[in-house]
Amino acid sequence: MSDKNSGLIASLAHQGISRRTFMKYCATLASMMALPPSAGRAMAEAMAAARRPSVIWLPFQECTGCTESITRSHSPSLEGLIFDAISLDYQETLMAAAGHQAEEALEKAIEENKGKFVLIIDGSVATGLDGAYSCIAGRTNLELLKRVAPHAGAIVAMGSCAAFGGIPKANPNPTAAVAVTDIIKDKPVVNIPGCPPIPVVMTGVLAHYLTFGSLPELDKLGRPKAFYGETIHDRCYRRPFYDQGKFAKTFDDEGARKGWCLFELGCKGPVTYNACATVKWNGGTSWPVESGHGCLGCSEPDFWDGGGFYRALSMPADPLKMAATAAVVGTAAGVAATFANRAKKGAAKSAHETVTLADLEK
Amino acid sequence: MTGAATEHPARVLEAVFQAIAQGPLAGSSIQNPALAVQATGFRVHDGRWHGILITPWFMSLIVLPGEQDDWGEMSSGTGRTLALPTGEVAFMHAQAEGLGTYLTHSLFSPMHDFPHQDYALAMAEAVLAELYVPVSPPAQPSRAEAAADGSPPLSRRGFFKALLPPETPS
Repeated sequence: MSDKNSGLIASLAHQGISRRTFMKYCATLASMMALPPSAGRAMAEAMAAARRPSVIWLPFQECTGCTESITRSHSPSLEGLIFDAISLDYQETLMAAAGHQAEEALEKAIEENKGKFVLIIDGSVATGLDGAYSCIAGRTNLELLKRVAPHAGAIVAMGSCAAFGGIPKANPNPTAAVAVTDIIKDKPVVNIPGCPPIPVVMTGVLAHYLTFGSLPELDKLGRPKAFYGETIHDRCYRRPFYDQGKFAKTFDDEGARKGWCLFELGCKGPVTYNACATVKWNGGTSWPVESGHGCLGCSEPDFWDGGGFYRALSMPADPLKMAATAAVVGTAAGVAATFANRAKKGAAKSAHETVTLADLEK
Repeated sequence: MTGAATEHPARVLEAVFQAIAQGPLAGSSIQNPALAVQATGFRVHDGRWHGILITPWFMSLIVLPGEQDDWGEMSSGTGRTLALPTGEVAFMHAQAEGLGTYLTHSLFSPMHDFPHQDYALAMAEAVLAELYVPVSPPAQPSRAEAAADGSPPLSRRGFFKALLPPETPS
């Protein structure tokens, strides 16, 4: 889409964003990802390099909310501009080409960048009726994924649908929808769940790949640990009220007005791993819990079938039956080290909690 | 109770959260009935008491204000970063009756993965060892934790031993 040889710095300057602002943004990004300070400069240099890597973005069973999140979160965002400065060779929603031209662009991008391009997928993969529920240019999503994925340098499953099957996979799953990782077994897939996911996570993963040529550290569900290492509950500003047993019972009672914990109103914060509580949304303006609504748990697998958004999480009646998870405690030293590191990493996050992209663009 | 960092805070902390456990949270399923309220590993760092509070519904790193601090005006949920011996940690201001304003950093919540108090204690011990390791050994364990179930206090060496299934739940 954009000229591959145009420098990012020049492109940003054209948009009124100074080199200094860009450096600051990269430093913030590095800090959010718990990388050493030097990584910020490395990221800036890598992203400003002349040749931008090719990105192929395939939309499957999706609602385009993920694309909206990335490109229009608050306009113009630095994330959006960086996105524009990568060579987004195929993205049906954003590209000018259509029909045969578009499919030619896809094939050309695969051939020209074999083994190097970043493949982003949003939406789940329909497998029912051999995938016939969702087709692009006469090819099923399943076919397309199997055609493109083997040649990708890195694969990113963007949003809860691509990462975990999401809403298309919700009961009764009429299209037999599956996640990207259910199809692609032979190479790592970065899952960036969320409905939609937080834009800066996408930028962070891209920046990491551009800078170090590798993917950031992932958890057992394939999510970047830097952004999905803590629960919403752990970093929620309403958390002290939970600790003190102060819960809003309805959305308009005294507790709700005083900003008490929304656990009893169905908040899924305690079981949801995401960075909303620290990074926030819409340029750092707010996030669901701050707006008075419990977390839906949209970035967790099968969140839609979780039993109702307004039903309080059920707790195990007999905790001793949970003893299996005590195996985790069995490696307490390791777990403790993780928590200690997490605690320390939290500092980097919180230090930048109030530095929003809007601030950086001033 | 926002005064000097001289008085060991374990008893006050335990009393405040015990009252919550038996008051607003009495019978609530967010409590793990296998666990008890216990303040453990409290030591003075930079003039403030630091330690871990275990309750049946959360385990958090807690810091109480020292003489140099005036946190009274800080609203609940706002952040404050403190330098610990092994790095900076992001805390959150919180207020509780009988405790005033204190700092908290969540480690675990809810607590249903801990089948027994000893597991929670072992985890607390291990987290503290990771966070405060470069400091000279503090005067601990406190009397409060040694008295918890009559078992000997956990040393680093005895830590893995403590992970063996206990004979009787306390």
